[in-house]
Amino acid sequence: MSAFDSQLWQRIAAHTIGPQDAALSFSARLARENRWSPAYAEAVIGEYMRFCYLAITAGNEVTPSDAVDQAWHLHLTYSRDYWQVFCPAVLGADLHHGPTAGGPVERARYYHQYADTLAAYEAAFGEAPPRLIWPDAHRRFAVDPFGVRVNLRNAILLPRRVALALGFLAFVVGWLAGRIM
Amino acid sequence: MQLFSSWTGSDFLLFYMVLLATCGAASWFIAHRLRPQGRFGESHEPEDIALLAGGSGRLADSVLADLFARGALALALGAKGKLAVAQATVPASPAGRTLLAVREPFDPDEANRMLALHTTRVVARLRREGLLMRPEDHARLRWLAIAPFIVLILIGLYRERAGSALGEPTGYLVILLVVTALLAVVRFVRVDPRTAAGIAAVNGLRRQSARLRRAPQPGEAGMAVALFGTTVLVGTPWEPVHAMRHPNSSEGGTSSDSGGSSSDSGSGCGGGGCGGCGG
Repeated sequence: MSAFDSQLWQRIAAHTIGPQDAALSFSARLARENRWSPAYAEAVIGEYMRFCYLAITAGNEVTPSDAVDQAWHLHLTYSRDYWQVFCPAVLGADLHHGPTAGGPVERARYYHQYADTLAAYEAAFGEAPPRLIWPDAHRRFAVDPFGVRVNLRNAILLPRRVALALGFLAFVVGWLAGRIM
Repeated sequence: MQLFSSWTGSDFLLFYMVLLATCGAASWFIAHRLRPQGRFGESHEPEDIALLAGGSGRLADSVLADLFARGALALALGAKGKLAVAQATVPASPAGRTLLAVREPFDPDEANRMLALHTTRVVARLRREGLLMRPEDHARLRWLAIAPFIVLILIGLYRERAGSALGEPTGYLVILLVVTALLAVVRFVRVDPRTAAGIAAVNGLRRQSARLRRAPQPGEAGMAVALFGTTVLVGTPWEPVHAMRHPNSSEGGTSSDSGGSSSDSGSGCGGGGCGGCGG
């Protein structure tokens, strides 16, 4: 029997997080807080649901990608839904979130769990996890953890390449101006 | 009547450059179409795939990664950039056992040399299985692949001699001839020794094993490196094997320890021993 045929998956797939008539839905809030497109946020929620399935069925601790983790974090803030409906009635078990305690041992442990999670995903759903949502280990453990919360009313964000290009352009213009004047 | 006698030097140079580009395309086309088909088998041993995907160096890297990921090898204490045997009793392939029998620390290049005999055996096996070309087929394909360049060089030499005889400057043409000769040498050296079946086997496995490129499990590290090179080890606990091969690589440096969270499902742990996961 595939994961899609299981009763657990049917319950997970049928579950909607948060009030359905809310002006700001769970999906919209997830997209807003992470500056994702609505379609990407929906895709991440779908992967979060798959992750929850694996958490119950894999038989060992599982580790999400950063994007899925963001969905999990947000779901935990919908605490009534999470603890009073989702865990008891949908998953049939408590699903606790455990951040790393830090250090190289933990670092290795979380790598192994991430690798096991990807393997369990492939075994359960018959396909590799989507790369855009489940990136490689380097991205997951060396790049994504540097994400921070920024209020765009107070800051201007530029991709690093654009900032470097603008800096180089300013240097060239300044140098030329100095030569001309 | 002399060929190209009515052409100016610049006309001929332009013509030559167009022919050079055409020769590059023709060389690729010849190597693609005339490559022996081979036999589509089921050779999925990591060492076979490593040699097919990246040559002897890749085979050594694959064996090292496999042994390192399974704890048989570790970083040598007091010998920077070298590995030493940590557990000689770990089950290993014949190539792996060769390295596990070494008492002194060694680096990847030394491992490559120590596995030379094994590499020769793998090459022979892949030729028997129809995944690598036989030497005579490979040599024939190499000569065919550079045949367009040879013809072009002959045409260019003819024009250069004729131009020199008339006292015309031929410096740019000589430069183009040298470039053509260099391209021919590079092409000759780099003609892929695999049969069409060998290339298809590697490409097929790469498609099937996309997950290994992201986060291989310890038992998959050897195959992951075989298919994709040591770059797949960046971000894994086995990154030192990649760092040895690419000491100046800008990738890596996964010192962050803030990147994890995990689930602790009560039903998944069994025995009720999963408390204290924090949150």
